[in-house]
Amino acid sequence: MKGQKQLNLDDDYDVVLCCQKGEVEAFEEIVKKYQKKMFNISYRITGDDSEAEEIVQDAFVSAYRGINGFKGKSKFSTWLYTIVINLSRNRLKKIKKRGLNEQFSIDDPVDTDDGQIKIELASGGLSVLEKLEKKEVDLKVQGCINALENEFREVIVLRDIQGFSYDEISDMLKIADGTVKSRLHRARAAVKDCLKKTIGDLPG
Amino acid sequence: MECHRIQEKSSAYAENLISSEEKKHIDSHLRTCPKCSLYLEELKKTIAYAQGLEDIEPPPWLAQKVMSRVREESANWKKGIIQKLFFPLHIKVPIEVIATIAIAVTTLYVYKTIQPEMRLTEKTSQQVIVSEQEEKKSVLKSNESFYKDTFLKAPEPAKREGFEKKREVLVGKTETVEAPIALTGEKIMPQETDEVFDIEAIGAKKPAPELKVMAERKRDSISLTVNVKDIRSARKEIRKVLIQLKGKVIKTESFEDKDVLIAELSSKELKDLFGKLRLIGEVKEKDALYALEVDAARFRGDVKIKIDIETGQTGTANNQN
Repeated sequence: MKGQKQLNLDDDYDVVLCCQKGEVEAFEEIVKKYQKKMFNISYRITGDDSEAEEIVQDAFVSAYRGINGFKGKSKFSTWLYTIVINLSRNRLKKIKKRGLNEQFSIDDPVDTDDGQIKIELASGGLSVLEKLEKKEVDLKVQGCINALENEFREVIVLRDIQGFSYDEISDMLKIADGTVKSRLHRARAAVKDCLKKTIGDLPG
Repeated sequence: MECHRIQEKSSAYAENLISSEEKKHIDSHLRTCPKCSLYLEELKKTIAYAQGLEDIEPPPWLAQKVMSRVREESANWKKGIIQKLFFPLHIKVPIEVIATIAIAVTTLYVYKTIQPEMRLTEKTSQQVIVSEQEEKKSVLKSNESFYKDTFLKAPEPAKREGFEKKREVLVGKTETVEAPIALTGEKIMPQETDEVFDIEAIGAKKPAPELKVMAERKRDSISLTVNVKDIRSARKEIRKVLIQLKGKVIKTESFEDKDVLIAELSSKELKDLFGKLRLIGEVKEKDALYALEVDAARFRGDVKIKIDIETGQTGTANNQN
């Protein structure tokens, strides 16, 4: 997939062509098709859904502005995702600077829309998970991901959460395949350790 | 050591991205190493958790909001193009006007350059004093509206023509100089027809001077007449002067009653030239010379000069009332 000229095989080819000709309304099809994925990528990277809402809008507008510059070197969707990833990354840097997104630690409350939950480490390795609903586990997982450094965050979001292939990830992040794999391993290992701290032994 | 290596590979192992050889090796290690087994187990679970994170629905208004922004972008972009083409009116329109004027002036200038070639044939030593009034009227009639603005914006070429006229008026006339016309002459566009005027010094009210300087303007050339005692020595002197002033002597002709010297000189040196000519011959018609000097300040570049060297006498057939 890398380096392949896919324009004629691209599902979105016709629509993109219309947009390039200036047919604004054709773009709506693109928006509806990709907004969910874009939103989730952004949300998982930034850990903040309201930020994600803004980022996705900006990403689409940016894509529209630059649509004439899309040459078909990659799939249109890949191109689109790259935009949202970059914007998310940039926004994340700003957020971190503002200190709103602090390192996740054991006793930290996990900031979610549903309120705050305090985790207590169960002694003796008893699994607390059984008492928690999956949703809360998910929140922990996201919390642990939020604790990662940016580049590790990106790979685990794209690979394990969003399910992109190594090639696609390599394309979008502009890094080598080997780099993707090694970063991914470190990301997973870090999340693993973090999860163990928060919910004890990981239930199978 | 081994465990560390094995653990590093566990991500790839978990996803089955390793060779069968490596897999065999790791499998055998895992059988004997609980630590690594646990590590691998926990890693797999972690991956599973991550994969288990469900997609969140974007807010329902998101698509609409995106589209309204995009539509706005599109509209602005189109507006932007038009703006770029036509620019802010207060800049673009004057530019267009100036450009049109520049073209018009250039065209006329070129046309006038062609004119003298036609003129030289018919014009001899005939002096015609054209009524400035008539000329002014006709010019004004035809050109007034268009050129009035022109001159406010493109002063240079206009000034030249204007001053040309002014000089023609001033030179050769004394009390009869029509100052107002001269002044307004600046504002008049020289018409396309003949603007070569021979104006002579009318000695009506003054005694015939020994030296007559008659200035005649032909485009960017001047004709002078210097009245001297001895033509030959005067000619030598004048040549010296011209060379001194870094001028070029193009041609000398000898006639029965006069010598003619044609030279080229930088307009900056005109004043000096006049001064030196005065030393060679006598100047009585100060007004004319003064006028010429004043006007000379407005010439630019090199000027072609035709100097008639004559002796005594009332001069030539140049006297006309």
